[in-house]
Amino acid sequence: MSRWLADSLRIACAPGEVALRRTRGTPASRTLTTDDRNAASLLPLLEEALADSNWHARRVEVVISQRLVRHVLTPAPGKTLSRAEERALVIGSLRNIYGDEALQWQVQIMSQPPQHGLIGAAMDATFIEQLGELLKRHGFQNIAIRPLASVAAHHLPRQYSGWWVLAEPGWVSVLGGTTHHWQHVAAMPADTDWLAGLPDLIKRETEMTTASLPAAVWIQPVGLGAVSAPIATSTRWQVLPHNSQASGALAMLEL
Amino acid sequence: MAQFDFDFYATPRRSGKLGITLLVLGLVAAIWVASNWQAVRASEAGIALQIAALSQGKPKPAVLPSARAGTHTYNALSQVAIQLKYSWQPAFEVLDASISNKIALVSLDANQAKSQFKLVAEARQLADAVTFIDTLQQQPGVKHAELLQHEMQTADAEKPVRFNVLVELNTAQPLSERNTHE
Repeated sequence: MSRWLADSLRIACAPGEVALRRTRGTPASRTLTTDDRNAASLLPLLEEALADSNWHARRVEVVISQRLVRHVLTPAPGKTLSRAEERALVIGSLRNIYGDEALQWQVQIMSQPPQHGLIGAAMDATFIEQLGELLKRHGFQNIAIRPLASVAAHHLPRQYSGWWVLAEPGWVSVLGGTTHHWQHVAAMPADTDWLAGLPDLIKRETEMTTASLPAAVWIQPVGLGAVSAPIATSTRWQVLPHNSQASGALAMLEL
Repeated sequence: MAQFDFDFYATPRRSGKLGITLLVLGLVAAIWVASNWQAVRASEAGIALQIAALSQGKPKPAVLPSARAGTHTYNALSQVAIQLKYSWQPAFEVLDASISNKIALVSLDANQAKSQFKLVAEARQLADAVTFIDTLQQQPGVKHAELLQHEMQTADAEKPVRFNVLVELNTAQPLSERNTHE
């Protein structure tokens, strides 16, 4: 869905916070917060915001913080799999990491060449279902619910090979790969000193992966203020464009 | 750029009015092309069958009856020999010399015993059909050419004139060949 369409609404969902931005009308954006940190607590906030029909539109794109999404890179299947086999492999890989909780998740799969693993994305199935029903109930006809990484990936260079760091307040996602496929996926909580620890983090992830990736890192900060590249001579660092003024869930809509 | 596209609520894409219109137009065009193609194939198949039937009449070595064969058997075999010996080449030459790009040959029905063939053809205008029949009539191998029937094909967009012609061949040369084994 194009974010440039006149009649559209974008919503960002992060733990404890919901932000809305519309293409027409004033104010252009609105933020609602709660002390609860789970995904389900965001639904009443959205219900409250959308009670005002001025925020309704035909299309809506919901961007979900990576803190509410889990990713997995499966072992390389070595052959082309059917959709059912791909699904079983991704769910099995998620279950290995997160246990039986993964059985309650809605899973999306991204295929890669058979010599590389599949990429899986998972979210709480009940939350997704209730969010979809809420949006439909408020008259949205064209609905998209995307992890922040799916939106941010469009800001990567057209050709690249190396590491991509997607940093949000309290959470860092690290993906390694090339223009054609992903070879490493990781995510972890992060404190306010995350940037200083980034060279060590990339070094650890490089040691953990079997893929040989160039020492090049693209950093995509979201809602973290002004970020500059770490000083490390052996690695080429590049900070991708970001709005240093935006903060919270609203910063996710700046991408 | 490597993709990282995930959508947990992919809305089924609905075809817009333009898409539906294009789909309908495409279907209509496909049906029209298929129907024309089928008509052309049917026409070609008819001609091919007729040519194949005519080709079977080309001279082939005749099997002569043995001296002890009965009269009846002998006559039957003679008929077969005559049919095998009969050459439709003059008919082909007549058609070849007469037909123009204004005439589309639809079918041929040959009668060897009468040295005749009936043909069904189509022309854009009746005048073209008449010219074609005149040309046929002027061919050395043709004794008589006659327009039997004509009808405008109103169901066809081009509205061609479909006509039937009876062509009687000059029997002098073929008869000399036919008498070889009689």
